[in-house]
Amino acid sequence: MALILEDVWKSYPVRGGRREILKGINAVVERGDAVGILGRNGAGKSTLMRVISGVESPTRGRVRREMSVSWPLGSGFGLQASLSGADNARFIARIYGQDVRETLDFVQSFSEIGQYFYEPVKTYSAGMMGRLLMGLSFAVKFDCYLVDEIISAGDQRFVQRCQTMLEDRLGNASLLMVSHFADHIRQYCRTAVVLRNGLLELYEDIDEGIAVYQSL
Amino acid sequence: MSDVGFVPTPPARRERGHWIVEGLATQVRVIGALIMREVQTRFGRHNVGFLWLFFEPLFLGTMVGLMHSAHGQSMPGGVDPFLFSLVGYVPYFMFRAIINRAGSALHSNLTLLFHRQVTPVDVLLARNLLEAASVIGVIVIILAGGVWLAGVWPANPGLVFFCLLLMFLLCNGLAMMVAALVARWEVAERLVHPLTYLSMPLSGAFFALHWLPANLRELLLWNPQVSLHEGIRAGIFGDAFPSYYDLRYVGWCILVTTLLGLLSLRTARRKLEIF
Repeated sequence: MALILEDVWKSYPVRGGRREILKGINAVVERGDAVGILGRNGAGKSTLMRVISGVESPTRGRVRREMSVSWPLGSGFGLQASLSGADNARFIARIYGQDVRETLDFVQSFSEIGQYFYEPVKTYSAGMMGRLLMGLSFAVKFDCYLVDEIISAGDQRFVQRCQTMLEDRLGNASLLMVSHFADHIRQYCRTAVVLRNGLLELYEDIDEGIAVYQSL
Repeated sequence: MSDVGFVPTPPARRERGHWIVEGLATQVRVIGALIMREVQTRFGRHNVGFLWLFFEPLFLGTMVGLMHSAHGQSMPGGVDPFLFSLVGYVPYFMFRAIINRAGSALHSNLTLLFHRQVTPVDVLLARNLLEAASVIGVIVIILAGGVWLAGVWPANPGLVFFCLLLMFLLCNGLAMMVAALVARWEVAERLVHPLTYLSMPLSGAFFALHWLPANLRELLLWNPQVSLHEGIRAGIFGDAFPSYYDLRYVGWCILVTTLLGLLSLRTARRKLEIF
């Protein structure tokens, strides 16, 4: 049970040709891994997340998902801004085939956004959006969570709630996390990769990875 | 970590069945959820909300019907001109609603495609099913109204609903092609509205083929929509005047548009860029 990337390439058409974003990435994510993904703006971190999750297919190569992988949890992705948090929770419960009532209770209780749960998502602050998204994805019990910056907007209490949740799961679940905050990467992850020039560089020692990233 | 508070336990994970059953069940669940959310976003949760789904085509159809019957022209076979234009316009409403909305379907649901099990086909199917449900509901209301108010029984209700079903399938196939086309070339979106508008006189919604010379009749029957409108009228008015339709040909058209639609959406999905 793992998540395997085999020679994954991704390019997009741009004015006057194609821009290569990912240039032949190979990686294996095992159960229980917690990997921080570091890289400068535009390095392709979010593209990598989308390709891993299966939202976009690689231009070349293959992603093998032997475990259930969350959708990329980033600002508002997979949510409907005009609907309330509760309606979004119902939608998620339905498409993932979960009990609607239990899902609603869990998301409301985990996200702690009070009455905003019944307001349209477009009125949420970045922090509330993060709370809702993490609540939704924890409700589904994925084997692998793809977190794209979303925890960074949360306050300390929320970060700790997420951590408790993940620690509960780790050993069972894996985490791939994009963040520009070295502290968050240290808190959540055990290894780090730096995405540079379309390729991944793995650092078993997380501080080493962060140091490399900070010198970019 | 004293200030974390109560962290609830997530719902238990569901047992999974065989992958074929699971795949089918997922698709049904996804389409159901999409329909629910379409109703919520389009009609809100206030007042009569989703009743607009039926009211809108009924209202428009009635207005068009009144306008036509106000002309006072007599219909062959002593058919009521109001009913004639109503049962022509309402199914046409389905065609126009489905095709005109197809271009924006993927874009307005882009964020939902972040969930792997939600495919462009599901998005379109959900929308189109909703439109079809509204029009079929309205036809039921009209036919019931005809029986109740005027004592006019449809000659062959089965044929009416079979033609409406075929109409839905045809529109669905076309809508998939339009959506895929727009995903590739955004300009296509601008062409859809004028084209559906211009094709209105060719749809056969507002006249009976019987009124036309034979050669023109043959020409118009190349458009599968015409057969369907004729079939619907035959199902309602029966032998009041002759009808001309070829449902076998319509079946072939459905097959071709659906296959082309599925194929083009599949290739479009890879081209679709999400933010």
